[in-house]
Amino acid sequence: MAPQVSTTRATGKPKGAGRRIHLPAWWLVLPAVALLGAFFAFPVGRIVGDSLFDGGFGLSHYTALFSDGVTVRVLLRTILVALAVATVTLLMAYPYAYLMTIVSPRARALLMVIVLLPFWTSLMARGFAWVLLLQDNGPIDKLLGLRLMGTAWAVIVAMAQVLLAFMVLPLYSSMQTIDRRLLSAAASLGAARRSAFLRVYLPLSVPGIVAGFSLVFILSVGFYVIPALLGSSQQAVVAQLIQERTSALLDFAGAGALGTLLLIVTLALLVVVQLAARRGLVGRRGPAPATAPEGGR
Amino acid sequence: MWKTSAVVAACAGAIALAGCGSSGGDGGSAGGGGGKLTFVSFGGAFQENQAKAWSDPFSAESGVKVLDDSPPEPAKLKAMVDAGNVTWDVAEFGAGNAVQWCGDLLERIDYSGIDRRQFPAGTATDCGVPAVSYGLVLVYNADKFRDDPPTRLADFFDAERYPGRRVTSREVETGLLESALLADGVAPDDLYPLDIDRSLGIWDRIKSKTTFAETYGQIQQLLVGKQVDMGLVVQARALTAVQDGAPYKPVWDKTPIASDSLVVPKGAPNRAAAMRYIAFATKPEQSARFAELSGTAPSNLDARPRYSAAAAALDPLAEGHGQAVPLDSEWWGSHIDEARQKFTAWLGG
Repeated sequence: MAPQVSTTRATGKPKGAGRRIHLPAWWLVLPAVALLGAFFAFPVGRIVGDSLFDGGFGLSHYTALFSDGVTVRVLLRTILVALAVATVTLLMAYPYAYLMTIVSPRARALLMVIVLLPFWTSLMARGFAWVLLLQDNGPIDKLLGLRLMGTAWAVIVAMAQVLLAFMVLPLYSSMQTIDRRLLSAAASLGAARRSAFLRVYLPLSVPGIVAGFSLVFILSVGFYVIPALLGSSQQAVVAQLIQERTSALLDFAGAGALGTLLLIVTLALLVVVQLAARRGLVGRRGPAPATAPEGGR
Repeated sequence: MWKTSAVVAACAGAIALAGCGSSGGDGGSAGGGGGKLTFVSFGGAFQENQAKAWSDPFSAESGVKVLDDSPPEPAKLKAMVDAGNVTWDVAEFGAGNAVQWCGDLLERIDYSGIDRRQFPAGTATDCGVPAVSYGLVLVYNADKFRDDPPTRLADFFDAERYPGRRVTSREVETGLLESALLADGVAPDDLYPLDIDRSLGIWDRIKSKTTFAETYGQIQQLLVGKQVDMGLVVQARALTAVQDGAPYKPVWDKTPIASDSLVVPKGAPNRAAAMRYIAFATKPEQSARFAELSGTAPSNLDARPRYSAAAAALDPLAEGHGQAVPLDSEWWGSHIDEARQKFTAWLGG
């Protein structure tokens, strides 16, 4: 063995150098794939596997979820909360991101810092700050007479703030690429500012909307800290049920089934969002050919 | 296939750190000198007080060094036992858990150095020795109910006569079900087997007015901030709130008493030392000392804690403070999952 190694070393040097240049590009993603495989695909596979095979193969852990009288309602509540958070962040982030595309570079940098500062702050610190603001006899209660603590509303408000950056950034990066001369072109063809925005700019920003909405929705669906701090057991979300199954009931298979169910529902909803967005784009393009993005480039 | 490969992988990782399962040496078995063990409890001031009352004197007497870890997370216990890589020696869990997991996740207790008769009947079980007890005490805001203060457990569940926010724990096994049934007139001797559905039906009356706190810190925060008018809370938290100046007073009727037990995880690396630690920590003197420091109740019947005036006022075992009703560890051991599932479904549905 030893001589063989030495011969390949002796003769292989120039060859090795040549080979290195011809390495295909996909080698570069190997570290990332290995990392994801070891720390994402394998554990997720185990979770799904345990949920199906624990106590013999079958869907018993899944059917149990539908018959326990709480999981389905909590799942629906979680999805509604996540949709609300994604909608609220979209409504706040869209004008903000739009503003970022039209102001001076210095103002843009300032707007960016304003978004990112809370993003860099500890999640727990922000969670407890919201507890102080929203608690009974706290500032919001005293000023507005709103008792939000322990309700889904408190969770929505706080999660919208926590996740705002995840909406602003994709929206901004998408809007940045929109050629604003298209708006002038629409105006020169007789479009009012409003209809130029609605029929030209808005459809072109749909990829950013879809990206931001999906990102915020996915993060909201699995959020644990904020609902645990600001929500209540009566308004529990799925993450709290998973925690209960894992930590209190030691029902790892049931928790896995619940996690898998959440994953499936989330993926299904994302497919729906993607399809709706694509159809929306196509629908817009049909009657108004002038808005086709290719035209501007 | 799955399980085997996972265990192999877990062991491969673990060997580098601590050795896999059985290979860990029994540091405490050598008798008098040396060795160490890992004690797992709830951290913070609670565990510091346990160090003062139990661990430090134990180390001084036996020479065994006690390392602290926290929290006693059930999922971690199960994962460690399943993977055959246990790093805990003594852990504090609910007395019901000590029965529920006996033989599966927990070692049997060596009772050679422990007198079972020193503990309330049925609480010193095969896999756990009760070490800390706590009453679920009804407290009310004395500023709010000045003219017509509540006097009975039933008043907690009467939102018409006593309106206002309430707080309790969401750990159903700490006496929540018992409180509602006792309030409804069930005699302490007739409590078990618990009628879970009936109890939740009584809780229904005040469900929308009650915060079922995720953590004990939240209970304390709500009490200190005077954000609740009544609480059904563990006595140590009520004590801390009162010491912080919150205007809460106890009501003495019938008080459920829950216990935490000291247990030894299956495959604990220092099993013999762990057994000696448990025998030491549950002695009357150590039991009383921790009760004094933490404001909890001792579980050893021979313990005579010398409480501060504030702690004595919240002591459910004191003379004239109504009737203490210890929870039935055996019933909870076989019904804890059922109770939790029903409670969670009732709460979140």
